[in-house]
Amino acid sequence: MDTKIDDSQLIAQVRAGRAAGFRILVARYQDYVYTICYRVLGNREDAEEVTQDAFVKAFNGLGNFQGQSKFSTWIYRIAMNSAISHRRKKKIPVETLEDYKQFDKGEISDMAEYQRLEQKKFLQIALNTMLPDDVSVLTLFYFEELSLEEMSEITGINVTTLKVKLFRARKRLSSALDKILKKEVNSLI
Amino acid sequence: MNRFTEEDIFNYLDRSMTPEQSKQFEKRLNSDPELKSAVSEARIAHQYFKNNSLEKAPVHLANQVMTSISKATKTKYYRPSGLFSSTGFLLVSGVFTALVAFMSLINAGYVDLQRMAPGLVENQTLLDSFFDDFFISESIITNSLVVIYGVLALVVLDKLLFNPFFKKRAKRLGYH
Repeated sequence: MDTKIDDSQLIAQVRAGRAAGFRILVARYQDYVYTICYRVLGNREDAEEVTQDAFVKAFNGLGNFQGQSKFSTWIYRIAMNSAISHRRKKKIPVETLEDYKQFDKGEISDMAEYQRLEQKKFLQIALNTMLPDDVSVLTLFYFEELSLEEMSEITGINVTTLKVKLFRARKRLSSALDKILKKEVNSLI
Repeated sequence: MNRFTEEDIFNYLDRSMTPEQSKQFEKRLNSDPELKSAVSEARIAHQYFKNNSLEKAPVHLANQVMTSISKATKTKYYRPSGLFSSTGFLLVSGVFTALVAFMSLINAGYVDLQRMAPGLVENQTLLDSFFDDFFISESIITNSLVVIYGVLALVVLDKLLFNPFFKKRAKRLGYH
């Protein structure tokens, strides 16, 4: 991540007509924005498209960006709302266990990497069974650098309600994941 | 012994308990199989998410975003002027309509240039003699005006109704 120029300086550059400054902002936040979109949509193609749209929306709306909140908070909110509305509008084919099994045929020599990929697969399949609001709250929570107040700003939910929502979402994820893992174990026996 | 709630399980996993609470929780965890099972279920989800908190965006994403922005900016701010296919037709139609209307008025005798601008036209007879020879049939004027206004009406309809309707429809069907 580029840490030399801070976000507000880059935004000032873009406002002054130097669009290249926006490329640095995109590079800085693309993984985060893409993660929000992918977790909510459960599909890489749609996630890529919505991530792109979110950045274009942010660029076009930079004139209205007051700078009262952080740029990251603002772009995450745009991404989250775009992804949720995209998922509601369009019936998106989410990746299933079968889709992942196609990739399993390849050989992965690194055991730790294999385990991580396995975790990633089961996690996304479990998330695909959940409501987009719950998924986005969980995703933001695990970004770790966000405080509950920032999460509240992004989601538009007050902190107390957010805590309850987060707790319920984590419970749902645990039970969804538990079911999937048990099913997987049974299929291996 | 204290009863622990499900919320306590997540507080324990997030390390947001006080050392004292944490100690008590662990003590209970070792003796309560039900709590142990609940913690291990929650821990799996917690660990899976923690280990995979960030996805890697495709490498070409930044380029794609900048290309879209550059295209969108051109569309937004670039307005062709002069006789381009999109604006030129309207311009030519407008000028032609105004000319035909003006000629019709002169031809019908509504415009007396000598009275309106005496300094501009010294000799009314010269003007009269010119218009005595110049004649446009009424049917040609009417037909021209009908065609021009018809085309203009179509352009307005297209801008106001057809274009927004088909754009909306294409978006709804998933075309871009």
